[in-house]
Amino acid sequence: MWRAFYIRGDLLMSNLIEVQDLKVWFPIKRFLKKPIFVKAVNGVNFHLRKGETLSIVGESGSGKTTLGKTCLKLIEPTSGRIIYDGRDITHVPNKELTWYRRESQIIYQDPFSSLNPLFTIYRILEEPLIINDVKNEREEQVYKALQDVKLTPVEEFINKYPHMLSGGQRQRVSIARALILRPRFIVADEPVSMLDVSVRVEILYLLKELQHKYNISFLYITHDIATVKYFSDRIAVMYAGKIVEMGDIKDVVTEPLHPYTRALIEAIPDPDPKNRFTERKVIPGEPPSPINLPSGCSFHPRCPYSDGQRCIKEEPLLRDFNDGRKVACHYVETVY
Amino acid sequence: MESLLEVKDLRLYYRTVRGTVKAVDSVSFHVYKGETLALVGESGCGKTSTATAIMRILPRNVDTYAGEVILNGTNIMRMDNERFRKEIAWKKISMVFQGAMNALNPVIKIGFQVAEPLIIHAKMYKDDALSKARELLELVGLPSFIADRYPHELSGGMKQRVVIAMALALNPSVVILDEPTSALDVITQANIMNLLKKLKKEESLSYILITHDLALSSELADRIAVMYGGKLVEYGTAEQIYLDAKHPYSQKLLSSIPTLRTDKKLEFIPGSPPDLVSPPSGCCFHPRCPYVMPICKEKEPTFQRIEEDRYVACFLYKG
Amino acid sequence: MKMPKMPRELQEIADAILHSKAGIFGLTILVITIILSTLALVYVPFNIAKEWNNPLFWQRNPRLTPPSWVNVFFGGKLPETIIVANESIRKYSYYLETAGLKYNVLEAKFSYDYQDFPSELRLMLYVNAEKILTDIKWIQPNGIEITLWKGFLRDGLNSIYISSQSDVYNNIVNSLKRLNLTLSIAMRPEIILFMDNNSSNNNPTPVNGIYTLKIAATSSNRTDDVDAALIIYGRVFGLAGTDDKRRDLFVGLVWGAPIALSFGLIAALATSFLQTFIGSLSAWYGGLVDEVIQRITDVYMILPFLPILITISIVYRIDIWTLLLVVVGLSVFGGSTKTARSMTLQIMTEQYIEAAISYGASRKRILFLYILPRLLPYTLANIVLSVPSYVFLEAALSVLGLGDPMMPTWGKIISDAYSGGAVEHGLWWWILLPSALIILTAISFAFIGLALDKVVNPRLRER
Repeated sequence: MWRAFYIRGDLLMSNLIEVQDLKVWFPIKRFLKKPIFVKAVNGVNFHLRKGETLSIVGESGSGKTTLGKTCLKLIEPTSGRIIYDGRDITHVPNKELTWYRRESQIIYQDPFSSLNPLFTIYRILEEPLIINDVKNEREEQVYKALQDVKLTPVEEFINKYPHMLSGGQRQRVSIARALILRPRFIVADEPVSMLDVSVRVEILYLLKELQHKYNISFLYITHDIATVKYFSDRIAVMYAGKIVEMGDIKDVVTEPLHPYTRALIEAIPDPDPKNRFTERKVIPGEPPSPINLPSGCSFHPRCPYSDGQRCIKEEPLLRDFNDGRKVACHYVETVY
Repeated sequence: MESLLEVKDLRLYYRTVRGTVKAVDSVSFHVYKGETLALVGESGCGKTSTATAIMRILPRNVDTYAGEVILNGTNIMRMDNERFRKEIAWKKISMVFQGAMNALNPVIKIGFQVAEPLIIHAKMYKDDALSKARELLELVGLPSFIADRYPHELSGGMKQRVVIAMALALNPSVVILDEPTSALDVITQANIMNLLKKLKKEESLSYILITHDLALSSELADRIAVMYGGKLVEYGTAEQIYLDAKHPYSQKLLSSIPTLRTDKKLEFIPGSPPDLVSPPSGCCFHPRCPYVMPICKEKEPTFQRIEEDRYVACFLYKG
Repeated sequence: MKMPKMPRELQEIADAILHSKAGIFGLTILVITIILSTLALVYVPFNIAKEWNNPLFWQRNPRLTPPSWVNVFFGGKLPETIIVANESIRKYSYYLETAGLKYNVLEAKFSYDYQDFPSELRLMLYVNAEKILTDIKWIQPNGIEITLWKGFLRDGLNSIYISSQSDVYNNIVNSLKRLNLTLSIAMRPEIILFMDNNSSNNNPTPVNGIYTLKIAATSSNRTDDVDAALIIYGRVFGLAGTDDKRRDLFVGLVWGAPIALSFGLIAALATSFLQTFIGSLSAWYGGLVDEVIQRITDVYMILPFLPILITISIVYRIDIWTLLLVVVGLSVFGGSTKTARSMTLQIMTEQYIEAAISYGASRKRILFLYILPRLLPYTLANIVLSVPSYVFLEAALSVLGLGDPMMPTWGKIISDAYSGGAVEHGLWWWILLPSALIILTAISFAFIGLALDKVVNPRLRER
């Protein structure tokens, strides 16, 4: 028993972020009627360990971006809890979160609009330092940040403006900016989706290198499940505001359990010339609108394994399976 | 194999404040009947410009627009604008533009929008056109009541199907698709690809598929043309390119694609795409090429034939 | 290592102006205007302009005369003003002891070579005596002598309005009668005095040559003295003519320029910056602040701008700087508020704003450092485009008689012209010259604004 406590205590201490039953609902006010809600995040549970990368994979409208931003308190949660390093920050107002702003950062998808077009690169990187009252050695820190993201020689870049750089270079500046305050937690929201294919890999490797160097926990949000293999430890698949499957990356990708995960993986082509001769096996339909979610399991209208009764009435809960795997599906429960 | 569309030495340069941009620099390829040609490359390589050059949708500040485009034996580059508009545009060759699904008119019903090319070009009466529109919608897998809906009531995938229906309205032989699935979810993307496969078979269409996603293009491509810096660097069948790419750029591009089902070491290409106003000397890929030789910096490699219907522009190979 | 923050945006503006034909055209006009104004300001120093409302200062100018360059079209026959004084007057005086009389004789000689008659004649006599008996005679080159006036002058300045005094007119007619030269029709004194009697009375021509004005003054004190100045008012004057108060319009126009420009610029600057700032603030802080500001803006936009200004001007006699304050006050909220709000809303969606929040930037910092500089090109373009409206506004108010009554602004000149009957009497220079200047200013700004359109409207930009 003593051992169980030790392990449990160990887990508690190494969890950087714990999210419990998080819900983020956006109200749409209507005239003379009760407001309806966009249920972007509809009950999410996960934890993120120190120095670990958790990928959140889902299609657009699944709520993954909202989830990421809420973890950073850029969006206020509607209910549930966010616990960072043992501290419950769910309801802490923005004014008192300056310490959190130093420890957590975000990298955006769009390399064009995520940098201030009026500032030079030097100024963009200096800005977080200025705001957080870092007085000494600002110049050194900026230079170091640029070196970390391999934008060298540094002198060539510090006086340029964002529009003079390529997409890949801009994204590196975004990463440098996210790193400069030495955060412990970074949310990377589709950091490579808008980059050219040949550049994506480079950026992902860079992120991995930086993660190991500085022991940063990443929440890697993407719709491109193929990249997840190269920059993740664990993966969580989101559908309609909920996590439907979670586990170690290798396990989930080679043996997906949830029907949605399976459909997702089957839908992605590898560069194989034989693909053109056969129709790809794919499920019909589109993700549901977060305003009007289906009853029971949100996936049932598209699910090939829906039993027509329980799946329509009862929402499946995220349950533990072997090897740290969690799945929310009635069918999978019955099979296993 | 019957050549449906032949593009020879197509060039499109345009003027900007900084200089002349050589967007399309001597591009040549064939599109065979019933086949799909994928034009792949990264952003800024000139693939979209090639398509708009074929369709004669030119920017304001054109400097050079030359070459030959031979459709079924006729050189359509030589046609005057009026004749091109009447006979070729949308009738023989049509195009699905990038982000077209967002360009649907929000205040006009879907049915009318699909019927529009029929009314304008085929001179059909409104009622006939509308019923043909419904047929087209069913052809792309949409129920015909969609014709009475407005664009905002449709999902992304449905809108893309509508746009494909519009492109097929006048029974073209060649359809150019520019990143047809870029804004769509993975599963919707697979659905659209399946649709395109089906239509290709049923309607005997030939596609020019423009994309940066080499994995995606394997779903449709029979032949692949790889573009870089406004030029074609490699051309061959899908098997040849995917399994035995010759040009260093094609090779590196393939090895930079993350694959789900296989484990491989990913490689990336250092550096960035060339500036089309002042490209590097000689071979425009030489600053990033792992096999660069002295001659690569001085002379431009010609696009030469190394096998039957197999072309590469690289000094590593001799024709 | 710090680099200036917004060179790119200002550089864009400068480029836009300098690279387009319209911009260069407008800028050229503006620069020429400014250079000319500066030169003119040197040539017409402020102490002259100060006297605008002082009628005595302008006495030596003719009344209601067009500019001198008009003479080119008339073959140089229109006379310029001739002032015969000081050196041109021979003066000799002597004191007769035995009679106890002082005699002062002044002979003013001048040469008249114009083909047309002067507009007015005035004789100013500066008397330094208690009472002095004076006899004034006019002698034409052909020797004809006409008595103008006889009588007592008092100490100080005595003006004899040869052109308008009836006693002078009678004296002239009587003189002519005695010489057997009669007039068939009534004519003005300045014509009679210069007329060639051989020419017809319907179409008189002047006699060219040396004229003499002889003033004989008798008084009782030895120290008594007389000085004179004969002003033969021409029919053309200066670079811009004169108005009914004999003011040199060039002075008014030149000094109207800085007033017009500064009024226009200050009003445009203030309203533009204020509106943009408030609009941006409204969008950035959102919520109640946004609602309140938008409603106030709505009310402001409905308010009838001109009628309110007119009412205020009627009730209170205001000067131009108070007018400026009122104009700005009535324009704090306006159309630009809404546009700036939209632009800010759009900028707010850009990710670098949210990124700034994520590394702890305060809302105030983001507003001033990230958002407002993006609105600068729009604001500057707005300023340039609205300067003409404010110049016109000031002119319009002045024309209505509601502007500053003291300052020589272009609008005031037009207003004076209107009430001075310029339209009825064909006094074109009085109206057209200030109007032309207003239009020129407006055009130059409009052309610069045209060039700036490229900056403000991104779709017009080249790739």
